[in-house]
Amino acid sequence: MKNRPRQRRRAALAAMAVICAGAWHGAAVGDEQVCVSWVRGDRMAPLAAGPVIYNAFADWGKGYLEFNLEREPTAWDFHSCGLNVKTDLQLGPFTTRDALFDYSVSFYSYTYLAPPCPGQTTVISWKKTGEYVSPDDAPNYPPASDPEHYAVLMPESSLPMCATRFNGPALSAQSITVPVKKSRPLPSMIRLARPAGGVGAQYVKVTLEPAAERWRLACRTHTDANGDLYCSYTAPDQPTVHTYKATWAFERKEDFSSAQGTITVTPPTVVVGFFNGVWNTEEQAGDGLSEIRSLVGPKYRDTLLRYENFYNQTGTANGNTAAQDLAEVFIQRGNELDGVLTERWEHYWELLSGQVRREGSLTQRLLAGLRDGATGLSDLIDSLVSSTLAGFVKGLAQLMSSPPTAADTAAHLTKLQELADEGHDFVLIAHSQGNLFVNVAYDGLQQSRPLVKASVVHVAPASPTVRGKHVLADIDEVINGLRNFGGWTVQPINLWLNGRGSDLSGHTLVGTYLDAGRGAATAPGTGATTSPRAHTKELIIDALEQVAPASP
Amino acid sequence: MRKEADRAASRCRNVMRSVLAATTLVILTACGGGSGGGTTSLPGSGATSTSNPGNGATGSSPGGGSAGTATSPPLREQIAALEQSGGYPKLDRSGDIAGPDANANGVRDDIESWINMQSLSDLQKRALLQKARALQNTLLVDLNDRTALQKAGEGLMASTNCGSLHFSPYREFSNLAGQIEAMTANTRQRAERYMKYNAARSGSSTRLPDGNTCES
Repeated sequence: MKNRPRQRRRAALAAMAVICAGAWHGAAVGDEQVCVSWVRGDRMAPLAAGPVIYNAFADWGKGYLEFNLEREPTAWDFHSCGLNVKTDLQLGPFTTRDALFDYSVSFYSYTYLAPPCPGQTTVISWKKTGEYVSPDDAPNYPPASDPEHYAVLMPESSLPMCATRFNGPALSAQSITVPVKKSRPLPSMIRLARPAGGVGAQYVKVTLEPAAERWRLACRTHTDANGDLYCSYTAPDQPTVHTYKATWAFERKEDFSSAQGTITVTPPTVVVGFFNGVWNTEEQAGDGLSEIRSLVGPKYRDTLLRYENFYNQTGTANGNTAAQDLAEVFIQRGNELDGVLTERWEHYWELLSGQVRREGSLTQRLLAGLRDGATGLSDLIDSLVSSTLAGFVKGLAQLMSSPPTAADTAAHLTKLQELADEGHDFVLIAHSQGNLFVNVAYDGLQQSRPLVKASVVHVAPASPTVRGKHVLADIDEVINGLRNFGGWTVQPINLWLNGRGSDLSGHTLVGTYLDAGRGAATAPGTGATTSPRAHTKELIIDALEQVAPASP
Repeated sequence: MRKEADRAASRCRNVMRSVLAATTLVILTACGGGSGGGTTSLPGSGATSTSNPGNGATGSSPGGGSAGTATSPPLREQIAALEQSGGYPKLDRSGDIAGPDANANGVRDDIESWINMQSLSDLQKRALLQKARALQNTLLVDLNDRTALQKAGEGLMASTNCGSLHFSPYREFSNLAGQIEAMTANTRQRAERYMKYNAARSGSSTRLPDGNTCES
């Protein structure tokens, strides 16, 4: 018979601390601690309702405790509303050595899974046995010849057994929209997360209605570290709505929480992006985009068009000298004629937008209302128009000397990439200096999203290269200025207009290139066969046809 | 009619001659590339002392009333009279960027008066007031607050879309909105602030919304 210090052993058992952890619950928020009592008679007190995992293990330093279930866990019905036992998690016994007392410690660890059965009392019976194992005994343990090893060591008193019940994680299923014919990666469509963050490595079962279309939704089996379940969806050719259900199936055996979402397959969508011209304010750029929308309409065939303004301001990327020059000229010249323009900056904005000669503009109204002095003021304004146009040319020349870089268009490219990831294709329309920006953005989009369809329309391009068809009017004084006096390589003229309108520059988007009131020819010396507006529309339609062709 | 067209054509030729001359000079200085601090500050007040009668306004005199007779009132007085008669909007030209807004509806009072004087339907006037409010907001928004800036830009787009719903053709709204924009930034201080707003918005992207974006 070996020496067994029973008193010390019992004292150690009395000091047992039970550490419990691990539980999931469906949709509630916030964690709570649930204590059950380990009572006399080896019974566990009623368990709280709801799906709870009790991960209980004894950990004390002196002696060991063995938990033996009275029933074989494998025989239990996992889908009953009783206490289920997870057999595939941590199982003991584990043996550690207490250095101080030179005792060995063994313990079992079980994880108990209680399904949600509100109001049900679950009783579990335990048989507890303990054994002090001296280092000397360990190699021969358990000595089958000595049944006393298995003496029940637990005092017949209650001991608390606690588990922390984590409320959550919540499973969410996002309803999404996908254009027809698109395959779209959906990294965060399904997410398993607690308030503190995502829950990874969890099996999530996904079904789709109608079931015959299930193949369209390809998902990984387990969540990633962020709690996201990676899926991708292949949209059909026709608009429809699919319903999918995600179920958190713990250990693939028990359904816990589930969530449902829809996948709405919409008609195809193309983003019509506009890159504005020289000295446009954001308001004017938006106005140009709105004019384009009124020209093209809300859809092309069955393809919905989404209009997006990609705003850039002249000189922001490479200094604002030209802008300052324009303002300075206005200030200096405004001092003439008794300084009548000095505090009338409304005319400055009309100069920039090419509106000063438009009937009904503020400038025209002022000139029309003056009995005397109108001629002098009119001449002054004409002179300012000249200076402004020269300023346009200067600004563009500076921009061509130091063209926008990828860094300058990074924000635009990011937006284009986001839209591409949502399944959009693109028709990008650039006017004037916007052509320098669109080239960089388009190249970046093609490199990063090679499968995305994109085409470009260049209007009055102030750029040496283009990525699509262009239109350049013979009367465009700004681009002509670049060519004739700056020696810049610009695109060839390919539209000859009959006369000039109120846009003295021959360069503005609306006043010249979207003007419906003038005839235009696509070859010099020939009769007018179109208008600038119709011709520009043709180019845009041609670009739309490239990205959204008619179904065969 | 023919006479008017001839006058316009003649004016264009004159302007183009001036443009070519000015462009030649400008290109010579521009081709070296831009420099400068990249700000949108207007030139200093020293510029206001510069008057160059010989540089532009043909036949004008520093005193104004160039083509007038000895009995013609100065140009400033003529403009004041024009404003008084309603022939030209009487705009607030105070140094305050926001300007007066007695009813606190976000629209400067003088611009609101101008809108209300237009022969338009109530819905059209409301669309213009929304545009004026959105433009006024660009002068007041915190330029360091990117979220607020984006919201201001979206406000411009929403008002543009609203206008497109109530004006046909859209160009009618566009012309009026252009005047409201010009009137909003009608002083040096407001113009400078508006330039800064637009500089801050460079690189942004904003959707032109669909549907009814009119404010109630």
